[in-house]
Amino acid sequence: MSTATSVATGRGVLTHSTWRAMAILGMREGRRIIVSPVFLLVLGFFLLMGGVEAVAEVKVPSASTLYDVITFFSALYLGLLVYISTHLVTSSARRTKAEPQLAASTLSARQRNVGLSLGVLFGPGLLALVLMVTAALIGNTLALTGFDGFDREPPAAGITLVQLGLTLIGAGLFAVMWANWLRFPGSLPLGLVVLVVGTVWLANGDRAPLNTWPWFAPYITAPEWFDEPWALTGSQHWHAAYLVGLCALAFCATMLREREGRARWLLVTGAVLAATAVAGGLQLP
Amino acid sequence: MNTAALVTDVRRRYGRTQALDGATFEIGTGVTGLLGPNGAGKTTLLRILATVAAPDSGAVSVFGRNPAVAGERLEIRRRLGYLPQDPGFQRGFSVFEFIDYIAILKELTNRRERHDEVRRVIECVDLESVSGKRVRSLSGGMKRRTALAAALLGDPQFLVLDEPTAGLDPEQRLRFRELVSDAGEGRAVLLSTHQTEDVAALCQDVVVLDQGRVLFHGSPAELTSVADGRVWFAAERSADAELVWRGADGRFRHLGSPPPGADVVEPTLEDGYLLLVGRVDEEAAA
Repeated sequence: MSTATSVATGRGVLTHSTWRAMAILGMREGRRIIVSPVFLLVLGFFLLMGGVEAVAEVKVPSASTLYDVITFFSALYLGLLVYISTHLVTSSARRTKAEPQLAASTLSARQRNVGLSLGVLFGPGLLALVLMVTAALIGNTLALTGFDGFDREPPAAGITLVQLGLTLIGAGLFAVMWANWLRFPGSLPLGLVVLVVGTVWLANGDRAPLNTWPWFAPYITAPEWFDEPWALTGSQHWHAAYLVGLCALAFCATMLREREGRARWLLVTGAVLAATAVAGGLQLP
Repeated sequence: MNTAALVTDVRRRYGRTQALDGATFEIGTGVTGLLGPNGAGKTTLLRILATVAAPDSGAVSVFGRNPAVAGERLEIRRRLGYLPQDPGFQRGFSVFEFIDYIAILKELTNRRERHDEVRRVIECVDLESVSGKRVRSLSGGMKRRTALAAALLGDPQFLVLDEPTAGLDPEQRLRFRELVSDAGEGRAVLLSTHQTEDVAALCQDVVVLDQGRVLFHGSPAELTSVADGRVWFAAERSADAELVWRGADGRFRHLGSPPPGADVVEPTLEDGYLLLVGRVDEEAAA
């Protein structure tokens, strides 16, 4: 996939580098995802409403209000927004019939998808990093000062914030995969339903005989969020590793969309699947 | 003639439609016109040469490389510019941003070099004044010029243009001819069009495609000569002609076998093309 060549043209010599092109494309796609009108409008709306609500209900310093807004918003809405926005960007070429122009470009469909997946890291991933680091700093500062005005005690642990960040990245990678495989109008809402219903079904699946379903949900499993017996016993760190595995699986599934080189990607997918299964097993109580 | 592309017995079917049925020809440097009625298989052929589609059977080679092989396809794409028939534009891009996006996809990674190149192609198609405007807010002709600018990125050695003059005003068409004429210097340009005047004005070579097969391959003069002695003017409509229409001077221009004593005139390339395609249609009907 990596090449750096020079092609003599009528304009002199233009330098080509596939990896650099994918990285630049990733930054461009990340920006497209983040500045998508849907993303900005809904993000602004929820942040405003969350802020107003938090200020109205909790008469506490603004730092804890910000903390609550960040964590609640990230846990409940941001993943869905990342999914919607990323799906729109991924499917935009198909919806606008721009695919023939892109298909004749030097980057192959698979490489463009690598660019999109990097875009998820550079856009929503970076946003998630900023939000989670901010939340961690606020949480630690307030915990040090003995502040006890949080809605839930104690503030989220670092590993919970890591899990939260991974769910946001996972939502984006899932969108890239879904939009690539299901290329029809209605793919976006269908994926949304699958994502939400699947996650809710698993996360609330404290059912006999296997009481461990919530650990397999692509979601956080923090005991400070889930006041349930199952959340107290498993490994939060291995759950984070399991979420990384799910992100990698979504990426592999995207790579499998193109026929060329599929055998190699099947091998990679098998290895990732095995690693994810191991992490999934080790996280259990 | 330096061979830029070689098409050998290429077939492609879409469902029940045989889009290409054993097309064989060679494209050299310079401008080659691709003519044919609607449904002749022109767009399919261009998509195959632009490496966007693959043939069901037959062989295609561009610059001696086989587009079916990933590594060779990449080498072709690095030297290729493609303007599709109906170019689409993703939402939210300005003219500059769209062309810059395509430039990234063409692996132009040096920011300054890329932006200089984007500005150059925008200037080539006279879109400097709207380079900051959203592409989707532009007129059809301007959108087409935007797509043409994207195809010109990197000054490709093989330019595949599918109906590039559709929607352009006369002034822009002349500007386009100048552009393509320059592009054809030492490079290969394949131009699909319904405008026979463009072919007559620009092309050193013409390929006529009908029902997925190559009907004619030669120079514009040779295509024009198909109608030698078969175009005449008359005050009245003649029932014997294959095609008749009234000219601006009120007289009828006839194509076919002229009656004795007819006012036979010099044919145009369009006359040759119409007679060629018309004759084949008649043979097919028979």
